[in-house]
Amino acid sequence: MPENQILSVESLQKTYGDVHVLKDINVAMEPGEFLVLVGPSGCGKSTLLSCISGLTEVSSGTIRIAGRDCTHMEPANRDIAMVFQSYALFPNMSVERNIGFGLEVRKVAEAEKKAKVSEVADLLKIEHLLQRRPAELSGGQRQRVAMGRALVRDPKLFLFDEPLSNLDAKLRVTMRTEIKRIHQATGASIVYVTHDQIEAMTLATRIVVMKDGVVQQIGTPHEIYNKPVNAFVADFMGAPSMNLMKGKATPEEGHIRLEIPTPQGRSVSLIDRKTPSQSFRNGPQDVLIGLRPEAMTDQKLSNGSALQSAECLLEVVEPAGADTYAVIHLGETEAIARLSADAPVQAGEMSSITFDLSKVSYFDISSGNRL
Amino acid sequence: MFGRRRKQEKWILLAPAILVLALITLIPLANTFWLSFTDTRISAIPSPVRFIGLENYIYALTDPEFREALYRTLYFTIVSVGLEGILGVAVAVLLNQKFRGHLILRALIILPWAVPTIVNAVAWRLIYHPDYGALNSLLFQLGLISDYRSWIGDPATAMNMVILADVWKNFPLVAYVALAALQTVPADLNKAAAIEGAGPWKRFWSITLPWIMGPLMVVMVLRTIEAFRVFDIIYVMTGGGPADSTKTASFYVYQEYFNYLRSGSGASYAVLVAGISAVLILFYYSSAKRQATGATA
Repeated sequence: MPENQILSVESLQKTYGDVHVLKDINVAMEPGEFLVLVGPSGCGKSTLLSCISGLTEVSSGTIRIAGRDCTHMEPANRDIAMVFQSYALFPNMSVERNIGFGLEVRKVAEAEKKAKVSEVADLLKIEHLLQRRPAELSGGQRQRVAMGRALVRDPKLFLFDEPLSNLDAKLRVTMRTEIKRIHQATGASIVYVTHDQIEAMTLATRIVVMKDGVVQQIGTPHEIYNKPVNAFVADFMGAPSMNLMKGKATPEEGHIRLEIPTPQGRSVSLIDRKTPSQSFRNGPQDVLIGLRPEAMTDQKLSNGSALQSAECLLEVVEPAGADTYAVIHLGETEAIARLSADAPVQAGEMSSITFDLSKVSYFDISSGNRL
Repeated sequence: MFGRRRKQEKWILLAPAILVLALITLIPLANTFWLSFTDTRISAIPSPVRFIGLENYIYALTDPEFREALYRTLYFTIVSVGLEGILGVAVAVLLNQKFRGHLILRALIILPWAVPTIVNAVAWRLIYHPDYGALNSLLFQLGLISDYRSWIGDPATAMNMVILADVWKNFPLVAYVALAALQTVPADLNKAAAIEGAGPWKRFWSITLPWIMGPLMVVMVLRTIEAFRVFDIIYVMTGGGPADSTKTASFYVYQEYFNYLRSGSGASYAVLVAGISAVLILFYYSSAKRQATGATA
């Protein structure tokens, strides 16, 4: 176990009676990392955070924070701070006292406390709010105060539990940027729980994707996005999500031929020249072919040989401002193609779609695992 | 047109309530107020009623016995309401924990309050009985006393014994209100405070107590007003004795009115007691309002 890890979770299990909430979780994190735990509701991400904070007792396994075994330590002694979805501001105290509460408990001298609170308030641009009560603040301001309370003690590890979920869409984007700015300014080590994959992609230095209490994949946003380990991760991360089309992959001389059936009775035939044909050495195989919407477009992309074109029936056309999304029935699913905003397309018409096969992923049809 | 009809409608709808209120509260109140400025006496032979101005009040305020009765009332109010507050909140905190049978206990705890005051008073008189009281028996068997005592027959202990009986009956009300308020404390607040390093005591004083202060103040106001008017439990348990040691202001008024039949002078005492109650209510009201501005999330 390297000494410099800020957090290491080893073989963590958590059960509530018969319900196995966390199954053999292993996660490690370097100082300064922004680790995002993401997954659908009920995947165990909040329970995992709660175990790290010490608010929830683990069933078995080890949690180390900054090299210290904290598995059975009180939350107060773990040198952590937490930001809650509900903000959890103390309603009877001023903003100043809320931020300084941890210092007050630790009997830090008044002058030092005031200096630290004002430093943090300055960083978060909330100096003018210090004398107010939480009830007098807007959602975004409360969020800042909650972060202030976490930052002021300069703990080893920050825990964020869906901090932006209670904000409206616009404010969420602003606060997301704010959190990223603070992370860059302070170099803090952060574990951040969210169900929003865009938050995960934009904030994380590394993402932990969870499902049903099991870690599916740990990797940088780039890895998670481009090389998902299974169909679940491929589907969950990215909006719109990756198209997973049933098709047949046939190894041929130096390339792989893909046949994707359409409801019109013919197949879209594509050639993948990037993937070595040895990948399918057992001969032709039914697979899930994963292509992101941006790899199915009307535009002339620049990576030459990977590009293939095919005539497809556009069932629905959805202009979204910057792009136009088109729904195409391919491989027993509704695939989404991302066309340019001014693409001259109409629903119900055939149109030439360019497939970029440099970023294709293959998944096993039954297990969903990456091939 | 429409507005005027609405206005009439309002008064028509309110009329029965106003009438009842006038009959049972306003008219007697006004009558008492009037009586307090007269030398009216209750007697078989009607005597002319004479307006005597502030004479009754001057007498009441210079009457040392009445002043002592007021002090006794204040003592009774402060000690019993104080104990009810502390005990009520403590029990509420316990009942708010999840343990086996906590739901049954929550239901049981209301029982003392559900018992009528008179029944409670009679029960405690039996418990305190100098010859076969349960308290004597318990303390004797524990070796804490060497002889049976007359707990409410002794001026030194009588008032505190009455207070104990009153606390027993009324703390469940405080506990219930506090318990209801405790259940609205967001779990995240306590979690956040725990992570910030606050121990159970600090969390209770800084988070939980301020949160439940609003509802708690309401029940404490109600209890204070009731305690200040205390009469029935004293009437049943001690009759104001021994040696006037439990004679509270209300009891004093009662005696003046119905034992000595001086209804004029009794009315002036009653007005004074009501006035002091009003001051107490105002004091509570303003402090509760201050609390409320801080405690709303």
